[in-house]
Amino acid sequence: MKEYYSIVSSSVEGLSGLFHVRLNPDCEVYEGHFPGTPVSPGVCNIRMVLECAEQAAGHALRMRKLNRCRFTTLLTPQTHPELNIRISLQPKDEGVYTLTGTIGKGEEEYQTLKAEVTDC
Amino acid sequence: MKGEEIYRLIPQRPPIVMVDVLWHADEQGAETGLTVQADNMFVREGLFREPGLIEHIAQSAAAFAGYGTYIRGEEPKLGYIGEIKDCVFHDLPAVGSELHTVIRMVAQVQGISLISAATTVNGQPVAACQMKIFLKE
Repeated sequence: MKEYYSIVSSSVEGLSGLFHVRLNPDCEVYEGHFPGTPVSPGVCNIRMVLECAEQAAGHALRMRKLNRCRFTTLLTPQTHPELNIRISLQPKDEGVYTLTGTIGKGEEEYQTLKAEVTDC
Repeated sequence: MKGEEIYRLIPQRPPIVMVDVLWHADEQGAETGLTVQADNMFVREGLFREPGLIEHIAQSAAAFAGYGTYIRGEEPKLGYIGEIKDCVFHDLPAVGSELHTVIRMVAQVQGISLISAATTVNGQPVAACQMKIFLKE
Protein backbone atom coordinates (compact mmCIF):
# COMPACT_ATOMS: atom_id res chain seq x y z
CA MET A 1 0.00 0.00 0.00
CA LYS A 2 1.19 3.51 -0.83
CA GLU A 3 2.16 5.68 2.11
CA TYR A 4 -0.65 7.60 3.81
CA TYR A 5 1.52 10.67 4.37
CA SER A 6 5.04 11.93 4.21
CA ILE A 7 6.95 14.13 6.60
CA VAL A 8 8.07 17.29 4.80
CA SER A 9 10.02 18.71 7.71
CA SER A 10 10.29 18.28 11.43
CA SER A 11 11.87 19.83 14.46
CA VAL A 12 12.26 17.80 17.62
CA GLU A 13 13.45 19.20 20.91
CA GLY A 14 13.65 16.80 23.80
CA LEU A 15 10.36 14.95 23.89
CA SER A 16 8.41 17.54 21.91
CA GLY A 17 8.17 17.98 18.20
CA LEU A 18 6.56 19.82 15.36
CA PHE A 19 6.02 17.90 12.12
CA HIS A 20 4.92 19.30 8.81
CA VAL A 21 3.26 16.47 6.88
CA ARG A 22 1.70 16.03 3.47
CA LEU A 23 -1.26 13.68 2.94
CA ASN A 24 -0.95 11.40 -0.08
CA PRO A 25 -4.14 11.53 -2.19
CA ASP A 26 -3.02 8.37 -4.05
CA CYS A 27 -3.08 6.19 -0.92
CA GLU A 28 -5.38 3.20 -1.57
CA VAL A 29 -7.17 3.78 1.73
CA TYR A 30 -9.32 6.40 -0.06
CA GLU A 31 -10.69 3.72 -2.40
CA GLY A 32 -12.54 2.38 0.61
CA HIS A 33 -12.99 5.45 2.83
CA PHE A 34 -15.26 6.14 1.09
CA PRO A 35 -15.84 5.11 -2.54
CA GLY A 36 -16.21 8.40 -4.45
CA THR A 37 -15.95 10.44 -1.23
CA PRO A 38 -12.35 10.49 -0.01
CA VAL A 39 -12.14 11.32 3.69
CA SER A 40 -8.98 10.89 5.75
CA PRO A 41 -9.79 8.19 8.33
CA GLY A 42 -9.58 9.57 11.88
CA VAL A 43 -7.70 6.47 12.97
CA CYS A 44 -5.04 6.98 10.28
CA ASN A 45 -4.53 10.45 11.74
CA ILE A 46 -4.16 8.92 15.19
CA ARG A 47 -1.53 6.59 13.74
CA MET A 48 0.23 9.59 12.20
CA VAL A 49 0.38 11.31 15.62
CA LEU A 50 1.66 8.12 17.25
CA GLU A 51 4.36 7.71 14.59
CA CYS A 52 5.47 11.33 15.07
CA ALA A 53 5.64 10.63 18.83
CA GLU A 54 7.83 7.60 18.08
CA GLN A 55 10.17 9.85 16.10
CA ALA A 56 10.42 12.24 19.05
CA ALA A 57 10.95 9.38 21.52
CA GLY A 58 13.49 7.75 19.24
CA HIS A 59 11.90 4.33 19.58
CA ALA A 60 8.64 2.41 19.14
CA LEU A 61 5.72 3.18 21.47
CA ARG A 62 2.58 1.35 22.50
CA MET A 63 -0.67 3.17 23.23
CA ARG A 64 -2.13 1.88 26.50
CA LYS A 65 -4.95 4.32 26.85
CA LEU A 66 -6.52 6.94 24.63
CA ASN A 67 -8.00 9.25 27.25
CA ARG A 68 -9.63 11.49 24.72
CA CYS A 69 -9.51 12.24 21.04
CA ARG A 70 -11.67 14.89 19.42
CA PHE A 71 -12.21 15.39 15.72
CA THR A 72 -13.55 18.83 14.92
CA THR A 73 -12.99 19.01 11.14
CA LEU A 74 -13.31 16.42 8.39
CA LEU A 75 -9.95 16.23 6.64
CA THR A 76 -9.34 15.12 3.08
CA PRO A 77 -6.12 15.22 1.03
CA GLN A 78 -7.89 17.65 -1.29
CA THR A 79 -9.10 20.18 1.29
CA HIS A 80 -6.15 19.78 3.69
CA PRO A 81 -3.14 18.51 1.70
CA GLU A 82 -0.66 19.77 4.29
CA LEU A 83 -0.93 19.62 8.04
CA ASN A 84 1.09 20.44 11.11
CA ILE A 85 1.35 17.89 13.89
CA ARG A 86 2.49 19.05 17.29
CA ILE A 87 3.31 16.42 19.86
CA SER A 88 4.57 16.41 23.40
CA LEU A 89 5.57 13.47 25.57
CA GLN A 90 5.50 14.06 29.30
CA PRO A 91 7.31 11.39 31.36
CA LYS A 92 4.93 9.97 33.94
CA ASP A 93 6.68 6.89 35.24
CA GLU A 94 9.53 4.63 34.16
CA GLY A 95 8.87 4.12 30.42
CA VAL A 96 5.40 5.69 30.66
CA TYR A 97 4.47 9.01 29.04
CA THR A 98 1.47 11.24 28.63
CA LEU A 99 1.19 12.05 24.95
CA THR A 100 -0.62 15.13 23.77
CA GLY A 101 -0.97 15.62 20.05
CA THR A 102 -2.63 18.20 17.86
CA ILE A 103 -3.24 18.15 14.13
CA GLY A 104 -3.84 21.59 12.68
CA LYS A 105 -2.76 24.26 10.26
CA GLY A 106 -1.90 27.79 11.23
CA GLU A 107 -4.20 28.82 14.05
CA GLU A 108 -6.71 26.06 13.36
CA GLU A 109 -6.94 22.78 15.25
CA TYR A 110 -8.60 19.82 13.57
CA GLN A 111 -7.88 16.93 15.88
CA THR A 112 -6.55 16.77 19.43
CA LEU A 113 -5.69 13.76 21.52
CA LYS A 114 -4.36 12.83 24.92
CA ALA A 115 -3.07 9.33 25.52
CA GLU A 116 -0.93 7.21 27.77
CA VAL A 117 1.88 5.54 25.88
CA THR A 118 4.72 3.27 26.97
CA ASP A 119 7.96 1.95 25.62
CA CYS A 120 7.29 -1.30 23.77
CA MET B 1 -24.09 -11.68 8.00
CA LYS B 2 -20.58 -12.54 6.92
CA GLY B 3 -17.84 -11.46 4.52
CA GLU B 4 -19.02 -9.23 1.68
CA GLU B 5 -22.63 -9.35 2.96
CA ILE B 6 -21.33 -6.84 5.53
CA TYR B 7 -21.11 -4.33 2.65
CA ARG B 8 -24.89 -3.98 2.94
CA LEU B 9 -24.36 -2.57 6.44
CA ILE B 10 -21.24 -0.40 6.27
CA PRO B 11 -20.05 2.23 3.77
CA GLN B 12 -16.34 1.30 4.06
CA ARG B 13 -14.71 -0.84 1.38
CA PRO B 14 -11.30 -2.55 1.05
CA PRO B 15 -8.60 -1.96 2.06
CA ILE B 16 -10.26 -0.49 5.15
CA VAL B 17 -13.00 -2.99 5.99
CA MET B 18 -12.46 -3.82 9.66
CA VAL B 19 -15.59 -5.89 10.40
CA ASP B 20 -16.27 -9.23 8.73
CA VAL B 21 -19.21 -10.62 10.65
CA LEU B 22 -22.35 -9.37 12.37
CA TRP B 23 -23.41 -12.01 14.88
CA HIS B 24 -26.39 -10.24 16.33
CA ALA B 25 -28.14 -6.87 16.36
CA ASP B 26 -31.16 -5.43 18.08
CA GLU B 27 -32.29 -1.96 19.12
CA GLN B 28 -29.85 -1.72 22.03
CA GLY B 29 -26.70 -2.95 20.39
CA ALA B 30 -24.83 -5.48 18.31
CA GLU B 31 -22.15 -8.16 18.34
CA THR B 32 -19.57 -8.20 15.60
CA GLY B 33 -16.31 -9.85 14.70
CA LEU B 34 -13.12 -9.59 12.70
CA THR B 35 -10.49 -12.17 11.90
CA VAL B 36 -7.16 -10.35 11.62
CA GLN B 37 -5.53 -11.21 8.29
CA ALA B 38 -1.78 -10.84 7.70
CA ASP B 39 -2.36 -8.22 4.98
CA ASN B 40 -4.61 -6.04 7.16
CA MET B 41 -3.42 -2.42 6.77
CA PHE B 42 -3.22 -1.97 10.56
CA VAL B 43 -0.96 -4.99 11.19
CA ARG B 44 2.60 -4.14 12.15
CA GLU B 45 5.13 -6.82 13.04
CA GLY B 46 2.37 -9.42 13.25
CA LEU B 47 0.17 -7.45 15.64
CA PHE B 48 -3.12 -5.66 15.00
CA ARG B 49 -2.32 -2.15 16.19
CA GLU B 50 -4.29 0.37 18.26
CA PRO B 51 -5.69 2.44 15.35
CA GLY B 52 -7.00 -0.80 13.82
CA LEU B 53 -8.79 -1.70 17.05
CA ILE B 54 -10.43 1.74 17.13
CA GLU B 55 -11.49 1.43 13.49
CA HIS B 56 -12.88 -2.06 14.16
CA ILE B 57 -15.00 -0.63 16.98
CA ALA B 58 -16.12 2.34 14.85
CA GLN B 59 -17.14 0.02 12.01
CA SER B 60 -18.89 -2.30 14.47
CA ALA B 61 -20.97 0.73 15.44
CA ALA B 62 -21.48 1.45 11.72
CA ALA B 63 -22.71 -2.13 11.22
CA PHE B 64 -25.10 -1.68 14.14
CA ALA B 65 -26.48 1.54 12.61
CA GLY B 66 -26.43 -0.08 9.17
CA TYR B 67 -28.52 -3.00 10.36
CA GLY B 68 -31.26 -0.50 11.22
CA THR B 69 -31.14 1.12 7.77
CA TYR B 70 -30.87 -2.32 6.09
CA ILE B 71 -34.09 -3.65 7.61
CA ARG B 72 -35.78 -0.43 6.48
CA GLY B 73 -34.44 -1.10 2.97
CA GLU B 74 -32.05 1.87 2.95
CA GLU B 75 -28.38 2.24 2.03
CA PRO B 76 -25.83 2.53 4.86
CA LYS B 77 -25.06 6.15 5.79
CA LEU B 78 -21.59 7.63 6.03
CA GLY B 79 -20.52 7.98 9.64
CA TYR B 80 -17.67 9.92 11.16
CA ILE B 81 -16.05 9.59 14.56
CA GLY B 82 -16.55 12.79 16.53
CA GLU B 83 -14.93 11.80 19.78
CA ILE B 84 -13.23 8.83 21.41
CA LYS B 85 -13.06 8.63 25.19
CA ASP B 86 -11.51 6.32 27.77
CA CYS B 87 -10.22 3.87 25.22
CA VAL B 88 -8.14 1.19 26.94
CA PHE B 89 -5.90 -1.22 25.05
CA HIS B 90 -5.27 -4.34 27.11
CA ASP B 91 -3.51 -6.30 24.42
CA LEU B 92 -2.66 -6.21 20.72
CA PRO B 93 -4.14 -9.24 18.90
CA ALA B 94 -1.82 -11.34 16.75
CA VAL B 95 -2.54 -12.13 13.10
CA GLY B 96 -5.18 -14.87 12.96
CA SER B 97 -6.96 -13.66 16.11
CA GLU B 98 -10.75 -13.60 16.06
CA LEU B 99 -12.01 -10.35 17.57
CA HIS B 100 -15.42 -10.36 19.18
CA THR B 101 -17.00 -6.99 19.92
CA VAL B 102 -20.08 -6.00 21.86
CA ILE B 103 -21.53 -2.58 20.98
CA ARG B 104 -24.06 -0.91 23.24
CA MET B 105 -26.05 2.17 22.30
CA VAL B 106 -25.77 4.57 25.23
CA ALA B 107 -27.62 7.56 23.77
CA GLN B 108 -28.80 8.87 20.45
CA VAL B 109 -29.61 12.52 19.75
CA GLN B 110 -30.15 14.15 16.36
CA GLY B 111 -27.79 12.10 14.23
CA ILE B 112 -25.20 11.72 17.00
CA SER B 113 -24.78 8.31 18.60
CA LEU B 114 -22.92 7.66 21.82
CA ILE B 115 -21.83 4.05 21.97
CA SER B 116 -19.74 1.95 24.31
CA ALA B 117 -17.78 -1.03 23.10
CA ALA B 118 -15.74 -3.92 24.44
CA THR B 119 -13.58 -6.19 22.33
CA THR B 120 -12.32 -9.62 23.39
CA VAL B 121 -10.29 -12.43 21.85
CA ASN B 122 -11.06 -15.89 23.24
CA GLY B 123 -12.86 -14.23 26.14
CA GLN B 124 -9.82 -12.13 27.08
CA PRO B 125 -10.29 -8.32 27.06
CA VAL B 126 -8.47 -6.55 24.25
CA ALA B 127 -9.96 -3.06 24.10
CA ALA B 128 -12.84 -1.00 25.43
CA CYS B 129 -13.99 2.53 24.70
CA GLN B 130 -16.70 5.10 24.31
CA MET B 131 -17.28 6.80 21.01
CA LYS B 132 -19.39 9.61 19.63
CA ILE B 133 -20.37 9.06 16.01
CA PHE B 134 -21.96 11.48 13.58
CA LEU B 135 -24.15 10.06 10.84
CA LYS B 136 -24.39 12.00 7.62
CA GLU B 137 -28.04 12.31 6.54
